[in-house]
Amino acid sequence: MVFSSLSFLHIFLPIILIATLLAHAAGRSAASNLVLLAASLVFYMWGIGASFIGILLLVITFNYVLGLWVDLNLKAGRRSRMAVTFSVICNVGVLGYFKYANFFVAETEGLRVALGFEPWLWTDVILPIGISFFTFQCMSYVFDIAAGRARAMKNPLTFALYVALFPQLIAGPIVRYGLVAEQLRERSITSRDLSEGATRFVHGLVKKVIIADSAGAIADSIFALPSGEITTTAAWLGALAYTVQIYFDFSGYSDMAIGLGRMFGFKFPENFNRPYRSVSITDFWRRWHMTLSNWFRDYVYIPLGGSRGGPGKTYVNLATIFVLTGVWHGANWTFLVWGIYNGLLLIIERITGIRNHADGATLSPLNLAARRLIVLLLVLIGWVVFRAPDIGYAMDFYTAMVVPSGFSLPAIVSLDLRTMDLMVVAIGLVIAIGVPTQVRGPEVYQGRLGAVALSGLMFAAFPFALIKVMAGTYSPFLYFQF
Amino acid sequence: MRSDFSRLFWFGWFLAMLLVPAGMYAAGMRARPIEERPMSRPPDFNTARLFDPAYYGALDKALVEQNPAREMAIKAYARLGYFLFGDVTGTQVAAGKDGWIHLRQTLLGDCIPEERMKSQVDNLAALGNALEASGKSYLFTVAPDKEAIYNDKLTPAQAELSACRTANREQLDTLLKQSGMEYFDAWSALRKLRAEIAQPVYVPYETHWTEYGSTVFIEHIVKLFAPELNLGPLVEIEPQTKTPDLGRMAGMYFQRDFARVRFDRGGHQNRNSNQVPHPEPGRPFVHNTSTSNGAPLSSRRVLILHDSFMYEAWDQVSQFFGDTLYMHWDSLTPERLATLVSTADVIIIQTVEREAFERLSTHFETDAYASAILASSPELEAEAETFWPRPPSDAP
Repeated sequence: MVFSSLSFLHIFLPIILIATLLAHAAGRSAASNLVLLAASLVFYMWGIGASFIGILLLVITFNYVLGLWVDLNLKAGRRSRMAVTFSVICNVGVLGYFKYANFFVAETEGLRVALGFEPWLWTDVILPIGISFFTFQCMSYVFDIAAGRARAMKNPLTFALYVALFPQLIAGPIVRYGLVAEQLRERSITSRDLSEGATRFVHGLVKKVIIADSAGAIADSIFALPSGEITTTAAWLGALAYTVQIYFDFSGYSDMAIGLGRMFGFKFPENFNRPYRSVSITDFWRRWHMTLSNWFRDYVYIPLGGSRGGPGKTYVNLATIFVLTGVWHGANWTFLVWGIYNGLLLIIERITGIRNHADGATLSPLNLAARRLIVLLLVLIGWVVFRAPDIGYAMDFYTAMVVPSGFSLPAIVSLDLRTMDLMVVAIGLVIAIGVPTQVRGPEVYQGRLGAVALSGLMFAAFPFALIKVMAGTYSPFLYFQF
Repeated sequence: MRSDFSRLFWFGWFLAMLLVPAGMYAAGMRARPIEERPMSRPPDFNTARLFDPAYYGALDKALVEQNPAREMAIKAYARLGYFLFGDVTGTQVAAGKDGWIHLRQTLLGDCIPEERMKSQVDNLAALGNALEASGKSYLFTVAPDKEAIYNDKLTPAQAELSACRTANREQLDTLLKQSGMEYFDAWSALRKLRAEIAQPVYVPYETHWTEYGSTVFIEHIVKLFAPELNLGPLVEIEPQTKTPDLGRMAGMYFQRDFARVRFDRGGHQNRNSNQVPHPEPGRPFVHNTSTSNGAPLSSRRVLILHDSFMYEAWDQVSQFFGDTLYMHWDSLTPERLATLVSTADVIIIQTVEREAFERLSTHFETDAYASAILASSPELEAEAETFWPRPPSDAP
């Protein structure tokens, strides 16, 4: 189930909201936790079937046990290296098997046959949704306990809720245990939580449904072109549309997750902070998918030595982090290349000193604008390989971008191009680039002008988003009267 | 600072919006089928199905389609896009120039090799020869896609994409003319009619020709098969309000008045309503016509193989022919055709352009039809008699 589906919006969400609020009023957090846990399991099951609940519960169970083990070791004054290692092996093992096994088999097939082995007898593994997020959350749980930053959760149901809580289960943000441990035990739900949570959810829904989906329609039609038919104009429009799509889609989803969490009394961490106004790639990675960046920084980069071992070691550590970041996004060479590309840019920024102006505070307005434009361009270039089905296609796409190959759009793209989608992409781009860094999602609705914006959001954009979701389900039978 | 009331108001509004469909359902409003197919029903539940991802997909689909607010939303979104930006929603339609909507199917498609098309036209001609050999008259015609007549309503991209369609059309027309078959070139006739009259022969939101457009076909078959009858003047009658099909496919569902015309013979009467199928399932529609003012009718039995383009024309056809029998391509088999043909005097074969090649491929890939017709027998003819309506004089 996804947040922008009709089943979620009109059935699941209102039922769970009302049930949680009633349970919370009747029995405080413990009661609402039970409602939320049951709801989260249904939410997960709805997407891929009950079989995968087993995997989720298995991951929850062994991390719960590991947490208790680490906690016991800490109380006894022992180190927990073995438990932590075991946690990494188990979680990364589960993630590796489900996410990368098909890729590994497919990529090594040719080699095996060339070496005279029989081809693999392999049935494709189905990827349980959200596995990248919940395994990372579980690892952070064990790591934080081992580091003494948090205490183990004794109540298995509460721990299960931490891992499976549906607002952040399938697409983040990655909520580290220490941040919500207290909220899981006891939290309040105020009128402010409900109002701001609802507003934030609608804000995200509008970003996802109105902007990201419109941009996605354009990007999809262009990235579906055979590589020989991509014109220069199409390539740039496709890259731009995808740049808008991925930001509004992912940050919209994060907004919805944060808003939902808020309505249930949780305060989730922010995941995006105007990333397309970054003044360097270093700055970009402080603003894009912040919970993942922070996770890798705290649990991989710093333990590897961070920047403490001199420039060479730092570059190796950075490269490691970004290879992992790339691979985390999916099992395809394109993600690996995208990760390496970002890692290289960060290393170059360190070498050249560009990183020293990462916050842009000391730059002149012209320099600032130029930097933002260059960073956006570099990010956009990265998104091409991220979106392309394979490296070869990405290379053809880049070629079309830089070698003039026709300035009109291919006819099949023009056929599907909707004026409304084009306008929305343009508006999205202006919002992503133009709105000041200080004005983040929730702050837009504060103050006198904010009240107008809030009315516009709730009375116009929200109903329109719901209408668009419903309209998107229309699929008439063609041969009704021919 | 917002007050508690203001905060609760926004949360209440949020919840209320989510509950709109449930509220409508509680108020007794129900979704209705709007997609030319039955609405999805919730799948049967059993525990094992909880493990099947397809179960949730089916459940989702049913919940979506049973949503009473959905129809309004689809219409509102489609109309907004169309009237504000000229966009159309849906994967089966495309927005052309001046608000025209086109069926994507009529724009896209591969070029058909000439040899392949020729062999099918030859098979069709073989059928024609077989019909003539058994003493019957026949006519083949292709109802043009509207893009063939109004190609100025295509955007440059659409014109580029439909290059193969255009080439196929010209090739088919040429081959049919060369085949020596009795063939009516509706493309030329409709282009000429469009240039001559002020009324449209196709409209922006509908795939089919208008009743004005259909008159070229009526006029041709009456002159060909009943030359003794006077067509009478063409007059406009009460317009009909319809929901155009392309508007429906784009989700707009608006209504428009469509001009209706008649060759005024005065006093004709259909005994059987033109939309009522034969009582036996799978059998053709029948028209059994009589005239109240004694205007003569052709006594020839007319069998028409047709598709939806005939819907605009069959009231008119039945003004001139006493016994007409309509057989849709969808239920056509060699046996069925042989049965019907054995007792018909005139056979009219009509297909829309976009389906022409597919139908020729399906039905005329071999000479099976011609063979089946030549194999007609007294038993077959006796069976065929049951298809035709009773003579007008016997009717109540």
